[in-house]
Amino acid sequence: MKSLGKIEFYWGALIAITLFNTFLGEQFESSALVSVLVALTVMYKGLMVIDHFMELRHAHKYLRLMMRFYLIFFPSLIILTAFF
Amino acid sequence: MELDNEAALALANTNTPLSKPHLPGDLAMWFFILAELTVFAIFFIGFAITRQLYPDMFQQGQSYLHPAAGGINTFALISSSCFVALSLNAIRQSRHTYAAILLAAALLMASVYLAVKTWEYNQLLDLGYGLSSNTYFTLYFFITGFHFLHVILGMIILGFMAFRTINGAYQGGNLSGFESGACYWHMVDLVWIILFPLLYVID
Repeated sequence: MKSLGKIEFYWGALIAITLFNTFLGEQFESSALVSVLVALTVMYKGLMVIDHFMELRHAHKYLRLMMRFYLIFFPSLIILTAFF
Repeated sequence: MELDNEAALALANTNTPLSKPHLPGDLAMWFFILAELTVFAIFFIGFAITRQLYPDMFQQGQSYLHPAAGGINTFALISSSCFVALSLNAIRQSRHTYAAILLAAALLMASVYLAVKTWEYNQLLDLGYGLSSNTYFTLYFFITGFHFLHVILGMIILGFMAFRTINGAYQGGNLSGFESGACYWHMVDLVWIILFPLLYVID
């Protein structure tokens, strides 16, 4: 049997995180803790997609930096709004 | 940007780092992607600020949404993105038929997204909520509708890529067009990854 490749592994991780987020959305009232958890998982998912699906790990560092900034900045706003 | 054989093999085996940076796809496509992401960034900020101004309205509006439907859509788009990434690897290994099948699977997953989103829109419209109901629904329909149109455009691009793959257009390491289309599709997935918690999970 062919072993799973890296892309399939990251797909599994992304789906697991999505299920976790959906569970949070269905079962829990929104709180600061839920918002922080969700924001962190969104950051992680985004970074996985740009590095392993878009293959920006091999791209010019400034392009990768811009994309990483985007995916860190906007989920950070979610964390910020949770406390104000 | 064309890939030489060494670079193509190194990218197919993702453990192997490249000695020099490789831009996946055309530079023009990256300008387009960055412009699109900027537009969505304005929407995200607008949505977050308006939520702070009308928290009760947003909480009430969100109660009509189905997080499970959002979860299914996230599953569909992430899976679709995964199929496109696998398809690119297959092309690099000259497995064109397999690559075309993977693109068809990606299109199928994208169709799941369209079907679920259309069902969600119908549910809300049946309840009497539309674009002009209140600020929350204006933003909801506008942002998700805009993303919906991007999914349709992405599907057209994926369909074109599948057609060209079947016709053997991506030969001899000339994968720039394929990579550009793939990156556009991953961008559509990325936007949804941020939209999903913003719309369905956090209230």
